[in-house]
Amino acid sequence: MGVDSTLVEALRRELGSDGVLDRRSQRVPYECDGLAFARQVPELVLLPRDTQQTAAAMRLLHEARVAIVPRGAGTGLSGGATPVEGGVTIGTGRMRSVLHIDALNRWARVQAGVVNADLGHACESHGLFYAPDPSSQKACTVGGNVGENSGGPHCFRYGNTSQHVLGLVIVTPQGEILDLSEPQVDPQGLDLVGLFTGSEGMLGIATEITVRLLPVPEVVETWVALFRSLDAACDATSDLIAARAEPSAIEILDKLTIEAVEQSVLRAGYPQDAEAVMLLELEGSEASVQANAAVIEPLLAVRGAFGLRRARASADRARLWAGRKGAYGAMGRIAPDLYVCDAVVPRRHLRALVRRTTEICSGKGLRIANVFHAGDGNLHPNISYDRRNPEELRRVLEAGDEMMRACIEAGGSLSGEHGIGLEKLSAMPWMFSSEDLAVMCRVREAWDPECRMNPGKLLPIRACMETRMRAPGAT
Amino acid sequence: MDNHSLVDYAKSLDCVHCGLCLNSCPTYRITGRESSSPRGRIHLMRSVAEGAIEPDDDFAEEMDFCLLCRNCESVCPSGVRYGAMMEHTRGALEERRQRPWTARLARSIGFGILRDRMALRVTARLARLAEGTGLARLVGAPALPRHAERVLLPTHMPAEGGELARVAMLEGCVMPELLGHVQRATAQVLQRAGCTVQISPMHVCCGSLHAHNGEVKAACELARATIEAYERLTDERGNPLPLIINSAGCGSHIKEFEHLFADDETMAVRARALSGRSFDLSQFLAREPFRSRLMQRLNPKASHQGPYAWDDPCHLCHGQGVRREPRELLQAAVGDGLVPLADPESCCGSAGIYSLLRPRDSQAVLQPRIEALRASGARTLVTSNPGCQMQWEAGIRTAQLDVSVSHLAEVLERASR
Amino acid sequence: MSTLHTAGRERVALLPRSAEELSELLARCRAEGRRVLAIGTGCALREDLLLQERDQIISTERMRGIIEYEPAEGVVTAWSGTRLSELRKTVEAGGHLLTPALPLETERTLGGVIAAGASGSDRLRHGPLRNHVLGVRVADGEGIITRSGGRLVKNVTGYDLPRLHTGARGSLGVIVEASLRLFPLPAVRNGWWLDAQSGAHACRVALQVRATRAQPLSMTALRLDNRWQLHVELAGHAAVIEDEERILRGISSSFQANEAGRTDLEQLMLRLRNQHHLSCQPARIEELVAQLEADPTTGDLLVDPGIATVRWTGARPVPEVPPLSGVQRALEQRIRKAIDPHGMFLRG
Repeated sequence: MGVDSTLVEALRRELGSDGVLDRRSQRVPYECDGLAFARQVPELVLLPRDTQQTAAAMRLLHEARVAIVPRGAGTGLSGGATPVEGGVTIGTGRMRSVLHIDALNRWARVQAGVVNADLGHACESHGLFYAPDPSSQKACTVGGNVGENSGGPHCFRYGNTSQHVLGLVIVTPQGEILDLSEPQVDPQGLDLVGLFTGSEGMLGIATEITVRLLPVPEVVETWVALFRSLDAACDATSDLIAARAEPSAIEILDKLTIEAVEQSVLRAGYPQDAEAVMLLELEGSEASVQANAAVIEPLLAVRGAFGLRRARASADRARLWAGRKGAYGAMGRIAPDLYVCDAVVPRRHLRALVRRTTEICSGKGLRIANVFHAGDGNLHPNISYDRRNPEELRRVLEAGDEMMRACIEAGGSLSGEHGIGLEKLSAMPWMFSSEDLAVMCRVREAWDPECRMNPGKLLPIRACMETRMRAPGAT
Repeated sequence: MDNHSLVDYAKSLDCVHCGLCLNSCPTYRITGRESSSPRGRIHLMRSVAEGAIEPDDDFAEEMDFCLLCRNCESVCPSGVRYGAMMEHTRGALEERRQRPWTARLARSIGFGILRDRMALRVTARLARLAEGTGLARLVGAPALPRHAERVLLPTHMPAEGGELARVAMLEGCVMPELLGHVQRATAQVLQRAGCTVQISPMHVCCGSLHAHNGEVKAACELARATIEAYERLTDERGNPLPLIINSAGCGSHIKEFEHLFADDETMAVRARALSGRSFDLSQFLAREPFRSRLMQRLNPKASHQGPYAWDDPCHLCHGQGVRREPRELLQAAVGDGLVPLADPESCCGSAGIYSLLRPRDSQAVLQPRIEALRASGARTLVTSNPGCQMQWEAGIRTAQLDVSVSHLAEVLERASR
Repeated sequence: MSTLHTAGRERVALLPRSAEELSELLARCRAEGRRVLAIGTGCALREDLLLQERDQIISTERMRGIIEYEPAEGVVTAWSGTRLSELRKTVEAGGHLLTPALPLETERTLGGVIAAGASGSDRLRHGPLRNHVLGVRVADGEGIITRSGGRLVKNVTGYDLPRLHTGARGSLGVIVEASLRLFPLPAVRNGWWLDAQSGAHACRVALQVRATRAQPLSMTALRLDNRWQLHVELAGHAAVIEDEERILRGISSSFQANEAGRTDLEQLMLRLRNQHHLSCQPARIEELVAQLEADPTTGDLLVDPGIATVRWTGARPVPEVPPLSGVQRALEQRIRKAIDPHGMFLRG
């Protein structure tokens, strides 16, 4: 079995001809997501309009035993949406409706393809906002955010996507509809919504998402502080954490990033003479912003911060943030491709590990720029390269591995928000034992015994094979 | 065949595949298809250049489907020059495309008429006659004004209240035939702002529609003619006059003439010089001393068709980066009668002759904008591009909204009487 | 070994002192074909739990102690038998606030609280417990200990199994150790209360507070001896507290500072912790409380209006919850079988 003309015809009947893309020029652009060096043209791309269509398509694919890769906007950076050979990609590009906003109880229900920023706009008039703000929020979808348990600068205060998902409608790999969309104070039964969030598209496809909304704070103030060295900016962050200061975001951009941003359409007015820029956000009541400011300012000064600017007007704040949010794209000016790593380190070791990543890259003759969620210890070393040069790509991947190892040795983690996907598959055993991974494999098989959902991601294949050998009843 | 030449490969490498452009793209928003997004189209171009796919009909279709609104350029952090890439690919595709002779003939007549004042005038007259027969409505042609409306501007119009400067104004190809009142209003506003306005009697078309639709050779010829025509309009010291343009599409194209002369450094220098002195009407009027002179005459109470909403033409905001000036002028002209319009920088679907070539897609792109207009509560929609103006008028008629469409110049003219 | 009263009978519980001892015990139970009830101190077991003769109770209450607490990091990792009171004392010394705030902290263990999925009254500001369990180590039915999550405030590596164990009541294995996210210890903390005319009135006032910029740590409405009170706990910088006090008094002039009321509150929370309990949406809480207080059989009432949860004693039963859908039930069964293939663990 697999994708044949009978299957395509049956899918067309369910999704209409616009919902089934089988021509090569329509499939090729789906061959990669933001991890551009990993590529595979899907056999077919499906664009259902709602839960029912998704379920109908998934039932047909289940019968035909075809592998499925879910995809939001394809902005992910770990290859979570890279297609698999012989598989079908199901995109949420036509599921873009905000279904309901309950302002009084502070939640919204959206289709999976709603763009993160569009959800924000939709609840603006109610005085509410949706907290998770990945840097790609102008393009990435809420469904994709659920798949990856995405973060963003403000997750320092508000936590990743998982803390904001109240309910889901999930289409299972067998094409059944699991409706967990009713927002509940505590889950009834096991926390399947919590388990599904961040499962990287391996347990099913979320078609509708119920999210928690928060009241817009009375005051939001963005700060920009400059430092004479990246070390000093890192130390200042560690100081803020140790002093339990309460900004809602702490971001650091290094000099190379600043230069790229200032040359792009996103010119944020970051001074180019600083070695590092720290972006902070303070929010809450006037009294709490003032109180926090009184704690934070002297801590920055101790580490030699200068040129402190504060902005409250939304246009000014947006400009300061635009540079941060577009930093990844702005790096495109430096080289054709960009490898964005994602690792977490204990926040007291920030300086040492930022240094270490820089040493690793320069040791391999690579250009690295650092722009990261410092407050969470979430590093994003960005390596510029050209994927047409295989030798350079090899060095990039080696550097990525070495940086990961360094972070894990320091008590860190492989990913803070991008997920494991294809990118860090081989690094999983550095962090988890084969027994740890075996549990995850078994949980995955409880949902998808044939492992047809996004196969080859997150869990190293060996770990899964071993699981099956050990499984009760296995001979 | 050399597929590499179909693509401006060097420019395509600027794209890092981040996807921030997706949600800004009208065709992506209506289809949800990656191949119909800027990132997807660049991916296709790269794939053609690298030999991974053939530049077949499907490829050409995706290139044609693009509105060239360039919204993606405004949001691209990598500074990808998408518009230039698309014009390159369309041009190269057009060269090798095997169109049926009827289509070739239609194109050559259509693009030919634009270049020739007499042909334009005759066509307009014939079209006006055809309107009586109902034929025009059948093919969806825009309604034409009466003959009395379709007069050309005098070549010299003196400043009012003391001359502050002399300027050249682009009269254009279709504007005098379809929107003569806008041309007159533009000249009047400039005069009231203290400018003596000169019209080039020899110039007709800047070639923007040609360039956007793959007619590269014609576009180069027209650009050369445009440069020459406006080099001849000079002040008493022999310096060429600033060129004022009230059509966003033409303005954006003229400001980028240089790209057409990549192999001709002498022409490129002359193109740069013209770009340097070309201004959108709003951009020019927002400068001193013209601004103050005009402000003295503006009377917000004179506006009686409010509330007003401003729609940014794509080739003004994305093409020329002009956003603040028209809003400020409009605010000054209508006071608190200005209401916000959702998503003002997204395309209305006019896109040059796109609305004629692909009426269904054009309608699909317009639909959400019509809903935004309805929600805004505006009674006058203000824009500053002839294509947009006609597109909105047609959409408003179909949706039966009680909204009229004005060019910014008309609103300024009414408020400065 | 120690004894435990459950379902009216005295039972013996095994008390391993380390993860190794726990593994051995579990392996032995598995070999003997016994099912296991994993408990902390057993203070929050469900009422309807039925144990069979051969079932073995294992308590983690002697697996105690802090494994890692780095004040500069804001995360605490401890053995599952560690009492909440001990955790709180340790992290407060480092300037951190431990959530959840629950009564009887000296009896509650870290593992027990996580297994019970027990969020505290401070959930209003800090969110439910499942948001704060960063990582767990769990022993399975063969005594094999596996890890998920980690000791970092931000981490998406691997499936979020800590969320699966939170609230699973020990049915997926025995929690061995866990890491919790901490919050800054507020400089000032004080309580306010007012006499309310009715439960509905107390809820109305609470929702008014919710609609302001004030961010109380907790809000609790309760009925004691037929008198309704609304308690509001403020915490934070001194200037913020001052601002929030003004807001409270602006909403109702009868708000007054209170220390003693807190004791009543704890008592009532204790009395009600295993009683009827129901959650809804904030917009519906006033109506729900009005119905309950109008019922003459209702005894004590405790309401968290911001979270929209009510606890009560009395005859009025909890409305029947619609059963899980077939799809959900089947999936849960498969997940349980995947994690606990021999069906070793009882839901406590």
